[in-house]
Amino acid sequence: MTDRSKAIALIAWIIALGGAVLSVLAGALVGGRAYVLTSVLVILFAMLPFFVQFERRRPQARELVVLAVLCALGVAARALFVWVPHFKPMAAIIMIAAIAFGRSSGFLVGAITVLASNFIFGQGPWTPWQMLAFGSCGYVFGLLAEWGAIPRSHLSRGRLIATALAGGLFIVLVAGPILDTSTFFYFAAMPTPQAALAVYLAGFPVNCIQGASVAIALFLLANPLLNKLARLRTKYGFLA
Amino acid sequence: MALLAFEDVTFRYPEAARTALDGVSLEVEAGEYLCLCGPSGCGKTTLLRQMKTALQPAGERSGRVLLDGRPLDHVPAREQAARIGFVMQNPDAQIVTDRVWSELAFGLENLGWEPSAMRLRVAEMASYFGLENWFERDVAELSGGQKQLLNLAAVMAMAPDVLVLDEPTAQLDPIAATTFLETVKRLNRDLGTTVVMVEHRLEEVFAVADRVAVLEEGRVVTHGTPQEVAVALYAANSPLTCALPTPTRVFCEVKGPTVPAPLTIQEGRTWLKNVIATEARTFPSSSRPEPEGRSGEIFPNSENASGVAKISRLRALRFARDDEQGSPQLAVAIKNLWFRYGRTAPDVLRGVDLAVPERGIFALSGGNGAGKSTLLRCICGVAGPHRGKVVLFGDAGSRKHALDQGKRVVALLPQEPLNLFAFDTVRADLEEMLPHASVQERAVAVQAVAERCGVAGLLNRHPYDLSGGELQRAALAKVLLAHPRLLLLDEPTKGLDALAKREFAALLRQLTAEGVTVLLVSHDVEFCARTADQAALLFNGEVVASAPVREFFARNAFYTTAASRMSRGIIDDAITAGDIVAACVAAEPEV
Amino acid sequence: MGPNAFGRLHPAVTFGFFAGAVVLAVLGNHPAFQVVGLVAAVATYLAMRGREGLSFLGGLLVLAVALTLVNPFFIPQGSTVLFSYLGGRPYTLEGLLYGASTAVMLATVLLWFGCFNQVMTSEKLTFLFGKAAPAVTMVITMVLRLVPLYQRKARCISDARGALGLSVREGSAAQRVRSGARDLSALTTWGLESAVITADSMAARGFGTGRRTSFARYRFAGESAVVCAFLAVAFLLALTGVLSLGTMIFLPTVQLPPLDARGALALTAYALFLCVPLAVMGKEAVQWRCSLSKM
Repeated sequence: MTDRSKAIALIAWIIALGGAVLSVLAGALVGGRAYVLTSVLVILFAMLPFFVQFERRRPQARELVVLAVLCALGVAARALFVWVPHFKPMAAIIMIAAIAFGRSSGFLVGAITVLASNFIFGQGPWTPWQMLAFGSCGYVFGLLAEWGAIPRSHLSRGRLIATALAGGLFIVLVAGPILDTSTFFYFAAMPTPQAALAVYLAGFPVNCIQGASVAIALFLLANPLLNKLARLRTKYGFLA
Repeated sequence: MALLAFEDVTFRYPEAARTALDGVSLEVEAGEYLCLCGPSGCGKTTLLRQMKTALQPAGERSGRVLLDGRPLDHVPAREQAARIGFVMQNPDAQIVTDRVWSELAFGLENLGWEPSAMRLRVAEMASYFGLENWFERDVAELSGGQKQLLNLAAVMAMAPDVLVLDEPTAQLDPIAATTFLETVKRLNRDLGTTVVMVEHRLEEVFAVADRVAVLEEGRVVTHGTPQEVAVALYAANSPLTCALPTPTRVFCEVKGPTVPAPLTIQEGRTWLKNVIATEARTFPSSSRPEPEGRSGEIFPNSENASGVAKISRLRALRFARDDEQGSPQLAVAIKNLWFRYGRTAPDVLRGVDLAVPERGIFALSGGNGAGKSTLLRCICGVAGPHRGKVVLFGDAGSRKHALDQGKRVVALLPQEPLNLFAFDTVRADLEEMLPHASVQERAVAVQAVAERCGVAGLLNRHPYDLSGGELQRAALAKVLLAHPRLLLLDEPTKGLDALAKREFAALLRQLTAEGVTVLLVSHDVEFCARTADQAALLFNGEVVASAPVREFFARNAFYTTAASRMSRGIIDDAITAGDIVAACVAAEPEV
Repeated sequence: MGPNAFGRLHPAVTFGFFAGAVVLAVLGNHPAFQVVGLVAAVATYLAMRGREGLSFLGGLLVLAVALTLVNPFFIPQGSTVLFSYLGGRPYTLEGLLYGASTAVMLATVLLWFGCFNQVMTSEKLTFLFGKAAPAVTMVITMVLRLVPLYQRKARCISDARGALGLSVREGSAAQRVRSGARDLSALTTWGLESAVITADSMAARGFGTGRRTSFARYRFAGESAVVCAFLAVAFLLALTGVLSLGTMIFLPTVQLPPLDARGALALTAYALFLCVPLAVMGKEAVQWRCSLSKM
């Protein structure tokens, strides 16, 4: 990372943090249901630095196209599994993209995939929450790959199983609950602990099913897809 | 000064054993229409990509490419983007955005044009190319030919001085290809746009190009006017001759490689009339081996006879032979088949009757939307007709078995052979077909089928690294591992050059000798005429004609081969270049 | 009367309207404000969707009723006990009203999003954000083109492989998932290889060679400017009213803030703000009739 991009990142994070704090204060001042808007603003500010850094980097055509392909695969993959109920490989594809390209690209693939998918299926108040949930899938798995916990291609059987389990667990423990939180904020008249408990408990079985399908999808898809991305890197010298 | 010039350009891909380009020097004058041709892997695409810095592949390069006398490396990227337009083979993948208008504006946006100027140019482009009616459309609604025209218009919006085209019609059907090539010629003629094109549809390009350059193994071996090049190719006994226009081929076979050789059907007819009419004339007899695989068998040399008489006699012989076989068992019998995609959708097939005899090659031709691919889907059981029956090998139940694993009566080679490939090597993809076999059995079976299809050397390659011909053969190998008795081929010649088509035809012949029945649907009239035994025409969901191939194409006046059109009314029943050559040779009196 | 008349305004104006409508719907929890918001949202939605919109409204109604009934279970406060359950936990009238208020808020927001999806096409949104975030916008534009393309290609691949027995549509779930994964693998290779061509095609047409402009199909002038000014004023008036009225208190007893003159003004401003799409659509319908009758 150059000094310039470091500085940009820093400024972006400061703005994001400041914006988030201001939103919270404003929300508290207004009171009532303002917290619903506050939460969305905080999420938007939290995602801002990723987008700012991406834009400032002035990515070249190849990078944009590959990101677009991965996002589109995430949305379109469902068409291949219409024969299997409850099987949505989107989160798994986002995680695989993140393993191959790192945390910032991973976050963007996650966030843009749901954003674009909602252009097709309809935007709603849940859009920012979904961007956060799927963006975090990408961020965390990108980070795991950057730390060397997950190799970039040709995973051994052990690593593959570990990755698949980690993916499933992440859905059950993090991404799923983030989406449940949006349900909680929009549906509960008052944010009481009882209501929270009810929402998260009701979400748990659904998250388990999703987690299992993500684990299976990762197990089956991680190696084929990662190897293909590796081939792209060697054959065309794409994205380090 | 030439607009574009290559000065001793040599290029080697990383880790490649030999150079892809070897000291290429070539000049392109402003306003010229230059066609580059050569066998697959000769470096055509590599050469085209040297004309634009943004597209130059990675590797070792020496020599210079000059634009207006300036080395290309010194021409700013923006100027290159505006002045050198590039259109590639794949119509879909070149499109970036989802709307026709935004695609037209894409290049201008990149060049930073002012919105008002952009509006005008986009409007001009849409009007010039006749795109007004699609302007607001989603690009997904366009046909392949329309997409490729859009790609051309999107590049022309920047008003480039030179238009570089890399096999732009390879993925198009013949009618769309002709429209595309005519548009390119119009740009060249009306606007003076310089055209540099790699194309394997030489039949059409030779008639319009100003100059042709032939590349072999990274070198320019011949260049000159189309006539000069055609004659030079014949003189050098090049395998490329089989891609030349039919009249040129007939002429060179009969008269030997001399200028002026006819390039168009019109010129060919004029010449042929003279030949056949004045029997007293003598011709040097062709010393070259017969290029047409099957014409030798149909037209064995015989003594004194006029061309027409001889052909007629042979025709009788040929048809008699068909009759002798009696009525062979039918591989496919279809009676009154109706099909539509949705309950309220229009019928795609409207009462199709078809009888495909066993052990032969049956060609079903027809235009876009005639229902060819749908019929194949019905035959292989992917689509279910709502009325009528498909009977395979006399057993009405066999279509049901068609989808049982292992035992496969019928197998389909799809239009896009890559749809079959899911793995990273050809070998892994072939092995996928044998899930229950032991490792050893698998290796043996894969090796055997690979040798049969001539892909044994390609087993460790990635399917996407194969040339069109190689890929088609690899896909055939995969399909053959299902051991079908009936092989269905959907547009098998799409994206193949003339040479690859020949190899593929030979492979199909060999399969029929082994007892496989082949049913192919194709736009490619020439391929059907040369390869098939029987042909039928599907139009508007119905089979309007079905006959032995010679009878079929000899009877058609428009939907027929170049050879048939060239010889209509001069020689009876000639449908391939070989037929005309045989007739001309026969017209030569005995010395 | 379709969504087109409102959709023909400059995208910034339309986007601004929906943002304002949602913010006011969330913040204004005075019953008068909520009723105005809900009525306007229902009317606008029906005006845009016609009969097709009714099923969505039905669904919303079910959701709203469920939310109203369920919420009191999680609100322990409230003075008017309707009944008790599980050993004396109270189910209160205040809780029910609070739940109803939330349900109305949610229904209003979802309806505005429904209208938003009718009017704000991806093209308009990419136009709006194209300057601020050109790269992300480019990616989204491409994704929107690729998704239908991939869906079609996915069907082709699964058909082609299915005809060879490689793609199982019957059989166990495990088999189906495995064959789906192989089909996806084939689709991925194809997608990535095409991506290389697309990238070349972009580079060949000068992408990334410097400043980029955008083909503006929308002009900010005339009607858009007038509507925009009106919306801004109405929004500010309504917002100050919402904030000054304070938030309505439901617990432990319902306290309805009195609607004073300032509140009434804000309510009127809110109603006028929300009527803008209907007014724009209605105006066009009237003009169309007039032009027909003149012919």
